[in-house]
Amino acid sequence: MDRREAVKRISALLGFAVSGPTMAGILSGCQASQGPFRTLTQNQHDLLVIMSEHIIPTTDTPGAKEAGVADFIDAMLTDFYSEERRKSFLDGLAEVDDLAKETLGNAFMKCTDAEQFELLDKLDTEAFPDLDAMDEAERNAFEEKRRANGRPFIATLKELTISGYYTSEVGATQELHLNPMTPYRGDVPFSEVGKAWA
Amino acid sequence: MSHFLKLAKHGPSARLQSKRFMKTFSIIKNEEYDAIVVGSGVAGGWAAKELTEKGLKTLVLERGREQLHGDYPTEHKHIWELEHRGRKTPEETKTDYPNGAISGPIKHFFAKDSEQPYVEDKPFFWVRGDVVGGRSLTWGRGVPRWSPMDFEAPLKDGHGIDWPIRYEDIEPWYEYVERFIGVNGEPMNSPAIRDNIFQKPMEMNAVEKHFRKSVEEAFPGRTMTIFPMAILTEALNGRAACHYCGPCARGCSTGSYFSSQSSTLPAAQATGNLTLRPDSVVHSILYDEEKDRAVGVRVVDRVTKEEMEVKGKLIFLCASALGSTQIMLNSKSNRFPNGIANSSGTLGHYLMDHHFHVGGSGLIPGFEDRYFIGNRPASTYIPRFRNVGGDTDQPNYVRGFHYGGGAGRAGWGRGGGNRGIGASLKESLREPGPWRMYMNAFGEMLPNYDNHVYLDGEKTDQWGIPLLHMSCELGENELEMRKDMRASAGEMLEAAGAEEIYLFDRLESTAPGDAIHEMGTARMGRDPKDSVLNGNNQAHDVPNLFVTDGACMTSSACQNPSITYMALTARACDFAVKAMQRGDLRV
Ligand SMILES: Cc1cc2nc3c(=O)[nH]c(=O)nc-3n(C[C@H](O)[C@H](O)[C@H](O)COP(=O)(O)OP(=O)(O)OC[C@H]3O[C@@H](n4cnc5c(N)ncnc54)[C@H](O)[C@@H]3O)c2cc1C
Repeated sequence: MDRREAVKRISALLGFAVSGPTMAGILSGCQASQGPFRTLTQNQHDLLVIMSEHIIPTTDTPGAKEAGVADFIDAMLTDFYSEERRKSFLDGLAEVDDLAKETLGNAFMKCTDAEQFELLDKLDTEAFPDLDAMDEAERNAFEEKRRANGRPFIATLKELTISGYYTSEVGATQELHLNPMTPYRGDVPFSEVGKAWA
Repeated sequence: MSHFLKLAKHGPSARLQSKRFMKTFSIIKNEEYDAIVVGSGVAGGWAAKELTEKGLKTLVLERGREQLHGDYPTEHKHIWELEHRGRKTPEETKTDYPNGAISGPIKHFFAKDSEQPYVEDKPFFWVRGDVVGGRSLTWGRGVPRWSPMDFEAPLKDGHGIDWPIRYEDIEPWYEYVERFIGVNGEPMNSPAIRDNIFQKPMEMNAVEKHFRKSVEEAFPGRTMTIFPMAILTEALNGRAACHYCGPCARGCSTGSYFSSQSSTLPAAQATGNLTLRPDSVVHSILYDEEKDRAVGVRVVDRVTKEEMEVKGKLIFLCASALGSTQIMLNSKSNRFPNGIANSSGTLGHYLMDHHFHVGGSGLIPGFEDRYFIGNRPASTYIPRFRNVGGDTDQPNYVRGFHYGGGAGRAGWGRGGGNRGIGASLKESLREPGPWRMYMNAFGEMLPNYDNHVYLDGEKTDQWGIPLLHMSCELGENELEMRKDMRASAGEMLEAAGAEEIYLFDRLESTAPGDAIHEMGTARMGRDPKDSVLNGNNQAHDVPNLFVTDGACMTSSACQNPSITYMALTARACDFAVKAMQRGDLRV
């Protein structure tokens, strides 16, 4: 472990707030990458950069874009997805683009930030409905549809974005705390730590 | 941290091992060794240490590649620095490492199924270390001792043959081993378990403390404690105390947990009596009809496939339970047409494992203001509480089970299963989620003649050793026990106020071998007619042949077995060397 690691560990331990961009500048190597990608086309990659950033946006810490989530998704699709699942994911991605054209009159990339977010949020709400608020018939209809259509694209995208983000250097060290190498203490007030361990 | 690194680079064992001398076949061939040890894992490391310290010129033959202490490629790597962020690809899972315990960052320590195949007559997981150190590098390090009732059980309930030894025979050897390897934990006060010699324990978290209290209040006679672990909480013999980085199984350059590399091999090396040769696949044991003794082993070089014979006076098989049994079955002679020391016909039979992947979990409300710092490499432990006398005795099954487990707070993974995207999602995942208590049971498996391994009649591996077939399945007693393993988790979770309790029994996806505690197949016993080894791990038929890994086990108990292999190995070495020096072995 070099000095840079040590500094990061200690700052993670003490909860120093290093401003996002500064830290990112120091650590990065995570500029939005240019192809060639292993599975994605440049256009698909561009779409995923934007969509993942809507799911985990830049706030007081960097978001999915800076964490290189689209590259992570490219790797996952290539090395972990079966042909069938890969196709279904990429079809789902294209369908969001189609939906944007249908309902907003523009390709997803051309929509405003707010429009893009609302579209994804609407898909997310449909994918994760409040089952308690449904009556029996609605619940059955929902289950049937889910069985027929499989896991919705947005759910897979969200899962990939989250695991790509929180296992990235940005997500693990800036957004969350890296659990330090230090004598173990089993039972401490949460306030002493302040954030979830990565 | 710099302190740890210094130790890693300049620690005594690293220095010794870097001088390790890989002898070529031609050099080994011309020497006769006092002892040959096959395998350098948990048992082999101990045999090497004990035999060399007693002055025997000892050759350790290890089929796996060299693995120097401190040279652990994934140790302390952050998750984003690991290949595939630490994941094993579906392809790797399918062809090489089907068992879930072999994760991405530790896979390089294991044998690939595609290169070292075996035949599952019935589903079986054969998880094999394939480096110097064997599975001592990757094991879970839980080391509860056996207790008197475990050695007495077969005689008492009639399942299996009587152990030729009792707890009192092995107790001093548990103590001897524990003083050397270092074990942490806390006194358990349980009839089912005998305490180890403990360094200070690792602390439980808030919910585990609450859980312990509720279990002890609701179920007198049950207790929950921290798992006894072969990890240092205090420095010992030049090895540093644990620094709580977390994933022990990637290797530990500070030597804070027991492995052959951190502990037994450096001690053996320090005597000057050790020769260790990696890449040496032992094919069979050489038996001399006239002398009526094992006289050495046939070895094949893992890489070049060059073959040779090596001579030794004592042979210690420590190649893991099934590894040793495979070698014995493959050692055929006129006297032993069905494998060396197999006059009883029991070699390969009575294969056992522990059965697990059954238990439960539940959300424990409250405690949101409590957390922990550091990665504790230890789970909690609920020792066996069934069939230990009085009203704990069960009508439907014999023997028992224990629970590992622990409480933790839900992490970022929960975000993928709930509604919400954007800044609010990110903010909510910045906080840890609710506490969940997990309980996973490990149960005893009864010995059964039909659960066995045997050699294929035609197919061999690339070193010319016939492939091993496994035919093993759980029996009625285990299946009955599993119902209780699941239900008892539920009642304890309920007593602790758990919500959304989830009980499981993954019988469909697990199989023998999955617990990686495979044992039996060359069992100890009093009678040469129904066992392979006597009470000193010595083959009834071949007095200079010893088997001290899990193959020797007469019954399985439910405790994690390796500490018992260590104690039995040290005890057998003591016996063997004294017998040899007295001239009893005629070698
Ligand atoms: C993930 C995991 C978790 C575990 N957790 C625990 C736990 O918490 N507690 C516990 O008690 N046990 C645990 N175990 C089991 C423990 O690792 C084994 O019980 C222990 O390693 C057995 O010791 P051994 O010396 O018999 O075998 P090993 O440690 O496997 O060593 C055998 C050695 O022999 C070598 N060998 C095999 N065949 C040959 C041959 N033909 N020629 C030359 N060399 C050969 C192998 O390459 C290997 O190095 C765990 C195992 C794993 C993988």
